[in-house]
Amino acid sequence: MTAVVGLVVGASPSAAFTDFLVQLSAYADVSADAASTSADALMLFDPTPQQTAKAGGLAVPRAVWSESGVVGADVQALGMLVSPGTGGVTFPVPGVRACAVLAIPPFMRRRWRLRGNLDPGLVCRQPAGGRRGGLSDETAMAAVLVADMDSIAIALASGAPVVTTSATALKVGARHGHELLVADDEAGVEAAIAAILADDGVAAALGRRGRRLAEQRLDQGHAVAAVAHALGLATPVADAESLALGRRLGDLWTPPTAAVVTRMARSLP
Amino acid sequence: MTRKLKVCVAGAQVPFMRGGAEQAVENLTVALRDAGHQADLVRLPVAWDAGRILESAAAWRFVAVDADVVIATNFPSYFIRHPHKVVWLFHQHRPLYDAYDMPWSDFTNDDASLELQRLLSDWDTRALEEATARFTLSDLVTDRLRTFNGLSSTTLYHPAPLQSELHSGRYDDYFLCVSRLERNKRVDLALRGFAAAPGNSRFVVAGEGGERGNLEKLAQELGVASRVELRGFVDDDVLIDLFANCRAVIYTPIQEDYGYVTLQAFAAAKPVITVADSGGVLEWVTDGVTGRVVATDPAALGEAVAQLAADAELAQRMGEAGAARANQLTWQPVVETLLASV
Repeated sequence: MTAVVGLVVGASPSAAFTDFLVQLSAYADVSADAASTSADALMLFDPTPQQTAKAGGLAVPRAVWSESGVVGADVQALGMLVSPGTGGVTFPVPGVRACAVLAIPPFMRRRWRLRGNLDPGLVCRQPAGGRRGGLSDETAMAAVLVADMDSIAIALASGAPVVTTSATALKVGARHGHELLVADDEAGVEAAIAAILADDGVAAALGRRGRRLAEQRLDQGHAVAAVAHALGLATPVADAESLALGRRLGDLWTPPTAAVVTRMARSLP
Repeated sequence: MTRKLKVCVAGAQVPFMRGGAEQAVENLTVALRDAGHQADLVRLPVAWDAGRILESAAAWRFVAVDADVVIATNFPSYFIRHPHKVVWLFHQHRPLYDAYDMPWSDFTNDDASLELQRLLSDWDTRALEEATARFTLSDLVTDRLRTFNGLSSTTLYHPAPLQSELHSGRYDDYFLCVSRLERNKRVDLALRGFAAAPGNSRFVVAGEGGERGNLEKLAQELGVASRVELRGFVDDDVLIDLFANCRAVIYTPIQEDYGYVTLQAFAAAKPVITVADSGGVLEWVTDGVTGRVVATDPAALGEAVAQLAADAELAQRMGEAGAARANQLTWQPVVETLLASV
């Protein structure tokens, strides 16, 4: 029997939240009737204190999506928190799926730049999606990406070293020197770019950790799965990897379109 | 008392080929057993060509191993899945990384090849990330892992094969080169360096490989064929004797991962003449102390050969300094370190 998630909305739902609900519907029926006693779990969007108190009285798993920036202890006590910058599952940018973006490490980017006779220290200040593995050409080949809040998810997912502001880093839960470098003025950005260009090891480590953050905390599919798990919802049959091949190649984030997937499938009886 | 563990050593192997990595996994397995553990060596064949390289890696994902710990070593054995996977990295697939521009790399810069490289490097990083602990056999391999994959690791040195049997003898008037005769071992450079030195020393090469014909031809062209002996594969007793009585060893591979030949030369108290881009060899050879490190140039090599050809006492002093370093290496700390996290 399909589980039911009751919806509690305290403010006008954002586009990101709406997108999230569409994906959550793969796991359960989402009911706008929050008063329904048949709900197996509750999903709250920026709830009012009254809504929070009422939901807290129900003995079902709960998750809270907060965009208000005000997260009280009473809300945190409800259960899983889905909120930018709070250390839970972060879901700030609609439309980005890390699994649809190929991770291109810095040394591979260099090979692309060499082939195209591009600037060895190419910096991209407008990371964006596109046709090359889900990235624009410049985003795919740049040695460094300078990202803002709109582009941070795709920049991190791309596997490049990223420079951003402290506010943006905070919102996606990234740490300076770990998943990216933080700079809040132009001189700081230039210094950060220079530091990345001067050390291949730093570039590689930032690119790798940034990608992992994108996969684990910014990827919509991953975020939805994490919330569904917290709400006790079963994995939809359609998403279950029943084949060993799929599991083995899936945990290496192999694109389903990769030729090796076909070759491996054909090699099995 | 130390807990006795069931340990699987994982190593990939090119069928019918035996080099340093094959010896290392065998010796590690023996060392684990000597330490009281139940150890077994698990091998899968590997094909290095770009058209099959992903299959070679993926094959390890399907291997189920019941053991307390798996120690994975060379590419692609570390693709094995295990909750206690310790990686002691001998080498990655170098044509993908530092050897991309080398003649033996079959990766190109067309779209399909670049995507294959991207995917393989992504797989590589993820498989190595899974490890509960990461070690490498040299600082060079540690640095490659950091530079290309952004992963940290700890260098863990180990003794070379035959270390306990190797011994010092005379300092005869021949220079020794022990190597597979393949392009990346650059025996041709060693030969050119030898030929650049004046005198009547001999150059003895122990090892076999695809470059043999080219080396024979080169020796003729350089006018030193009468002083060059390409012995081919020699058994251990002969090799020990060759090490024991040579004046010095010439060893000039390209960015060698570790280089057993260096440690074997030292164990026989012989200095090593090498070049600036020989990689892991340089972690052992200190110029003027345990051998000579010169520019990657036949003339510079020739000067070093001439220096040691003229001064056997200098060769002995350098060789004994090398022996003092090599003889500190034992397997016990290697085993203890690899299993410390279990």
